[in-house]
Amino acid sequence: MFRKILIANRGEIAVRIMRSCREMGIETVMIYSTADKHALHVQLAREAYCIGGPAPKDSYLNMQAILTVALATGCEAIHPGYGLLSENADFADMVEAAGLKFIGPSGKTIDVLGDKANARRLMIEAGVPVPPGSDGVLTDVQQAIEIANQIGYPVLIKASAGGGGRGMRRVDSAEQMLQAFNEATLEAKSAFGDGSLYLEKLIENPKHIEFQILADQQGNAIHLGDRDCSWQRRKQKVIEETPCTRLSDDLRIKMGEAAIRAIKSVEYEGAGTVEFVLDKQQNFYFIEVNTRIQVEHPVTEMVTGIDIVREQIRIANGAGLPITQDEMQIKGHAIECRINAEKPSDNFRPSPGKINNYIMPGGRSVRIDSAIYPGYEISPFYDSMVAKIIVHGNNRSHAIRRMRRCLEELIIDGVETNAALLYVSLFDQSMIRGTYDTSTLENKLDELLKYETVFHLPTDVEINVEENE
Amino acid sequence: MKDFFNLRRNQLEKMDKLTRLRAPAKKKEIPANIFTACPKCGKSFTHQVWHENLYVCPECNKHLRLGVKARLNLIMDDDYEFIDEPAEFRNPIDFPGYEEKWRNAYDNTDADEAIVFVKGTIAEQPCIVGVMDTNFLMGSLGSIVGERIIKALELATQEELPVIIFTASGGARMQEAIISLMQMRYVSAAVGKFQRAGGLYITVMTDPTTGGVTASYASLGNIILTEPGTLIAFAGPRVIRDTIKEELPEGFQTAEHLEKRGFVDRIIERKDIKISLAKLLKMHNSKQVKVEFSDADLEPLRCLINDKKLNEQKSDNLTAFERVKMARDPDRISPKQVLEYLCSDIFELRGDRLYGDDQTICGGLASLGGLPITYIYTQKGDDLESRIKLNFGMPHPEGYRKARRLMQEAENFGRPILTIIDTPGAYPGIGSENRGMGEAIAQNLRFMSALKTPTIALITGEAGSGGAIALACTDKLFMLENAVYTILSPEGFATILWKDVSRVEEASTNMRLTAEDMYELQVCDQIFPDDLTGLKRAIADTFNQLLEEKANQMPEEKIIQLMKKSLINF
Ligand SMILES: [Zn+2]
Repeated sequence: MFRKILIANRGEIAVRIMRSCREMGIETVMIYSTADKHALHVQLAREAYCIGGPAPKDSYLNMQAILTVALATGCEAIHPGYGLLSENADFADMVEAAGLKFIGPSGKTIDVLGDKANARRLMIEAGVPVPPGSDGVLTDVQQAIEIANQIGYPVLIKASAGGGGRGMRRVDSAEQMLQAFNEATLEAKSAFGDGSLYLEKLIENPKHIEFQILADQQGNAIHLGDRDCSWQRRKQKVIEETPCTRLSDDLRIKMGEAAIRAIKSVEYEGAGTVEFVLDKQQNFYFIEVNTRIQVEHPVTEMVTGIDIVREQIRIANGAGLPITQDEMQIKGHAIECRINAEKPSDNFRPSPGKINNYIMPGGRSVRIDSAIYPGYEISPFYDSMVAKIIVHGNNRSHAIRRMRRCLEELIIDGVETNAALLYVSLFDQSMIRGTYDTSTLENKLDELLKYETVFHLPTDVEINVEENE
Repeated sequence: MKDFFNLRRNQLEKMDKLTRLRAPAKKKEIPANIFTACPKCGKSFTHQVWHENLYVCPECNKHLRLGVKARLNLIMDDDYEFIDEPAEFRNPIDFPGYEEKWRNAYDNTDADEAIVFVKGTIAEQPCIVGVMDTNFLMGSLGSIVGERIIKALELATQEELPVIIFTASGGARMQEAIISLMQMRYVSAAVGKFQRAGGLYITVMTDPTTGGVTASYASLGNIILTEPGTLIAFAGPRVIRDTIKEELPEGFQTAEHLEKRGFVDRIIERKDIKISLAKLLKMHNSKQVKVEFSDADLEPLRCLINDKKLNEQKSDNLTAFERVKMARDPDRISPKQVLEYLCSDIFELRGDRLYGDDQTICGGLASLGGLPITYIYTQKGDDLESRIKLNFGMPHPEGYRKARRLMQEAENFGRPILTIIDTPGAYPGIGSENRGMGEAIAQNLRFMSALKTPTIALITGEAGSGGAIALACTDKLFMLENAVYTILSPEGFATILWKDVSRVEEASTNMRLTAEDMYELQVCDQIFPDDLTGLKRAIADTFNQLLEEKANQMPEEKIIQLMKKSLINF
């Protein structure tokens, strides 16, 4: 087993990885930017090294600096966490080239799955359903119109090398196709140096369902169940839960098997997530594979009892899977809420600032993953998530009520958060029934914000409340 | 952080309303079979504690309402019979929905109407008892209630039994409208007829006694008892509050307030009600026609109170003013002490039924050698506080009116009357005048003169003027040897006549005010030593003699004769 690992990340995920390492008897090395001098992952670290300025490119994305620290401190592996360098194939290759272990799949695998048109083709070959569309890269606009007419509008044309929405266009009719095609080609060319496009049917207002995968170096793969991450705003997941209440057992098995096929279509290693969309007719389509640990992984941990970070490290070290697919059991229901420092009523304006004090919820089956402490200043340079609250319940409604209770207990003095919005979301009928899709939160936002103000905690301490007797 | 906690608490309250997760928790009653909370102080006690405590709160003495069964169990000896005809629903004005309400009450209470009558005994004293039940349509006065009362009174007349009614009512029965109002006159008439026929009618007002019941048979008792804290009212507190738009004073319309106002005789704790009723029934049911003292009763011959002090005093050869001073001595034997020496089973009755209860004049029932009598006495108080409270022994008009009321009752039931007097005089004051002191005294003079029942007055100390004679128009007047009887105080006399208060001693002599003077002037019939030697026997003999004498004589006639005898130039 590794004796020492460098954690190439910050914030709550860095702390979370360190915790598993500590429990496994593995030493850790932290890196940080000048802006993160007082961050919790640094405060808790035995060893931490400042590797650059506040901007990510100067520090957390500075591959050379990170490798230097890893090598100089005698680390044997690097855990990239999520975001930052976690899905960077070059970094994975570089780590391996330096004789260290990159905890995650190989650079080659990351690359293959990163090329969307290519991944799409692979999935079709592996028998994983993909949204109807082009078999590979489109040859010209005429082909695009032909395929679109065949599968029906609306469709998406996407940059093959792309991601993050660039080089992507929604097309609702044949008339719009030419303009969209030309624009997307230009945009993809300038963004990725590759103007090739592919076409997919747009699945409107689907559910976002993903499967957590573990795959070992011996070619075995299991999934740890699904997650419903459809409560989103602008593609940002806000509430995640497992298992998805709208999946029948049959469908869950089918999707799980598809996820395994997807993973096995490449040489995959470590933890990963196969993302699907699920339409109203219960058709599911492959979207992509995330080749890293994910923010919402704790919900899966809650219902399976498996420490995914621990398994990532064990697999990277050559160990087999902890259980077989048959042994995998989902117990109860888990929900995660992401608490962000932002003000929903003010168009989600970020609300960085100093945490004066806080009360975190506690009690049975409640997990807090956070990197704040009283006196900690939330930096404007990085994402605005201050804590994840994860609860487990015997069943879904139990978990929902437990989460409401947690949000009632939560008090953060210093920054404004979306906690009140999360709280009122948990009373929404589509949330209670589990029927929500990726458009629901945005559609209902105005209504939810009306109630949000009732429960919102302001930052200023000038609160005028009459004392209760 | 504290502010955040408070803010969050307020927010949660609002959110809970918005999300309507559940209806707000309702207050729960403590199950009746385990605990019952006192409606007044809120303390809870087990059913057993309530039961053992006769449903009176051990903490705050709140007397809970009792149903018919519980009340009868509490009051009656074991064997009693229900005497009502079975209740059959009637709807005198065809009021819609009345029958359903009535049947619901009929099926769900101990009672078959708002009043139930039984015949039986209370501590072996036979009587007819009516009990009202507020669980039955709020104990309202319906036509069946009226009918039952009238029939019970008729039966009582026939069988010469006293009637006791425990009232508890919200008033008239709305569903019978004017027919309910008519019950007020019917039952009041029946009560009057029963009383004129010599019947004893006692009411015990229990919580709540209001409206048309208060304004008819509840208030007409020869004796009116009530339990502590009972609501007694004509118009209910809510009606008054809504009408006058003012908050009502605390204790307004309670038994305690009404007692001070002179409208009830006594507030009796629930545990003492049975024994009190038994005592009253026994006094009215006495077959004895004479005062019968045994030799043992007459021991000691002298009253031992103030024995030491009396021994020190030499009564011989005192000047008149020295006797005045002795008569006024605060340590002198009081009328109350004399009564307690003479009588047993003393039961005080209060109130003039008009304005108030003046404790300067007390009265009630007592047993004199086994013969029930009505007693009246004045009191000055035995310490400064009580003297101030009792106005230094100077009564108000309501005191005299109470005395007259009690003497009327005595006359009705043929009880001899003993008055014991020690008062400087009626209270001179604005209130006294406003309430007609002169009229009150005058009424007493005429009234007492016409009494057929034997009367004796005893002056133990001072007997000042009109305030004294208003209680002393008796067949016989006794005085203690150092008592004085005056037209006004010697000081006043000196001032008026000579404009010189220092001549009080001279005035005392010249006024003729000592017991001896009174005897000589034929105002007083007999004089007793201050230690009461011979008094008991003399009172017994005198009453017995008067009982025989007065049987066939118009009383006023005798007074006229007395006047002719006492005045030389008549
Ligand atoms: Zn009480």
